[in-house]
Amino acid sequence: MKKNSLTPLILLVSLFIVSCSSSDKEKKDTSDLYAKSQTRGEIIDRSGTLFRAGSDKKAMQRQMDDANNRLISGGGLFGKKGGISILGLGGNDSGVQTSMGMPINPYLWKGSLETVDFMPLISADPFAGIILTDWYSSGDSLGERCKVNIFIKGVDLKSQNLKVNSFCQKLNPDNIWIDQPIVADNNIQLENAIFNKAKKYRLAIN
Amino acid sequence: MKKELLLASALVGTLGLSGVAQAADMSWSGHTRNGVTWTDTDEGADALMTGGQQSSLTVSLSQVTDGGTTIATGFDVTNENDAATDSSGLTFTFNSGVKLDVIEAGAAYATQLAAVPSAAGEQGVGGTSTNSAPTGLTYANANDLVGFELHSAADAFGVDGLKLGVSASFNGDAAATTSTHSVENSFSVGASYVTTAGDTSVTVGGGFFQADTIATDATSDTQSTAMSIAAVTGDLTIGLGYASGAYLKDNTTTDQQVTGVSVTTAGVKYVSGDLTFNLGFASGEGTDSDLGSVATAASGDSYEQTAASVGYAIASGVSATIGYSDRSRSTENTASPTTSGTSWYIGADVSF
Repeated sequence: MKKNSLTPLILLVSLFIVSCSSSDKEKKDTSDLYAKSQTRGEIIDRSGTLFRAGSDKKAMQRQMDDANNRLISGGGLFGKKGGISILGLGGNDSGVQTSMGMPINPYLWKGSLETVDFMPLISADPFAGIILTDWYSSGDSLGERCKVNIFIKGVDLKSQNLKVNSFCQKLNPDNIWIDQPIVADNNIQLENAIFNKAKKYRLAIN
Repeated sequence: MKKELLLASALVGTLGLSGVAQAADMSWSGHTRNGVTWTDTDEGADALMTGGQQSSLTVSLSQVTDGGTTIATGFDVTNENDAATDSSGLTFTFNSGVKLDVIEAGAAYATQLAAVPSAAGEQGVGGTSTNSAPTGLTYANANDLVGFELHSAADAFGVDGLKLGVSASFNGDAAATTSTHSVENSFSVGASYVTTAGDTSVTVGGGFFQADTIATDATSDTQSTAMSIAAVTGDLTIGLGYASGAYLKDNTTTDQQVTGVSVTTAGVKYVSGDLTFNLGFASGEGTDSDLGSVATAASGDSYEQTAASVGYAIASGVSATIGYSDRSRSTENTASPTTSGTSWYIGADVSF
């Protein structure tokens, strides 16, 4: 009936949502909460239904039917994850961890260990998916030291399953180590380095 | 330390890892539904038994960039709705958890609605185009192909359990018509919130949808405000939803506008081992008229359904369903026995 004059507003709202959503880097893990969410979007994501329905009402109904079938029957014909992989590419290969007995993604685990192999380790628990390094100082910067905590949170090779926290301290004139502000970019760089190594391992196996 | 971090990234680049082809996901998935439906209308004619076969087959493709962004797309080789090939647009999932669908995207309010339990299966007496009463909360959905849907990451604005969405489609260059309806531009906002109270998980979702039409005769647009709530405690799920507004619809002669639309849904689901019991109720009403005409009280349509189903999980990806429904419709404020009655369904779903 009339022209929609709210398009610029929508785009602004979009940018706002993106910015506010992506800035919360230190939030706690609320995946258990969403595992019980009953929104259409969450149910479809959870079920492994892969096809998109757009706005077509019949397609949306079929999408929900498929999702409900997968949820009540425990997945698809070939396992919990939707679909079957073509030509052995990707698909269910993150399930390799099952044969290794690890509840975390093995590629992320191996990539993490390799990325921080220049640092001394305090703890590396493959079942909890936690790697904790000791304090480390590089040879050309003895007045600064850092440590890294790495958390691998799931079996899938995806960025949401990887979390890196780095902490740095500087030595003051009184020989006291002073905590430095956390630099989120450092954490992101480490996550990217680990993720790239993990993808390399997956490619090598495939 | 920063030097070491940079070194780690530089090492990746030096080894050429960022330049090699990354692992792609390519998979088939699909769904078939086969069953038999018995329908017995209120007009007294013989009951009708029909067989139903529906299937879809989809190819899904995705790739993860070095930065961790997932780019996904796909297409239906066959689509059980129209037997046509249908593409799925593009979906970008960013590191932050934000997801963006572009091309043939959905409507944000529909994505964020809490799903109200309803009976599974294909049972139900069919309606006619003269009855304009809505049958579900998403009656207003109508997007142009050119558009997007943006899904926020989990815990939007730092609020645990909050998700937001916004969507829009654009067809501003479409030629205007007089009495033939088609969507011009549309937009939608949606939000959902999930929380727990003791052993109960509660999801509240909903939003707003608005679409313009190219028909100059139309005196109302498509719009809807919808909200629903679903609570899960143990194996029991209870849901309730409501939507109201107006919409435009195709019709055999002149397209129509439906005003005073409201729809209420309620349902219960109970899971006991391999058995899933569903009970659902839906009631909708609206008043239709030709585009630009004033609706009268005498042109009210209504729809009401009570339905139940029992699903049985046979194996992974396979379930059987027995369903029953009792529908009643009235068109132009007059009961419509040919589109009202009871129906049974028995069939199976297979997904892979």
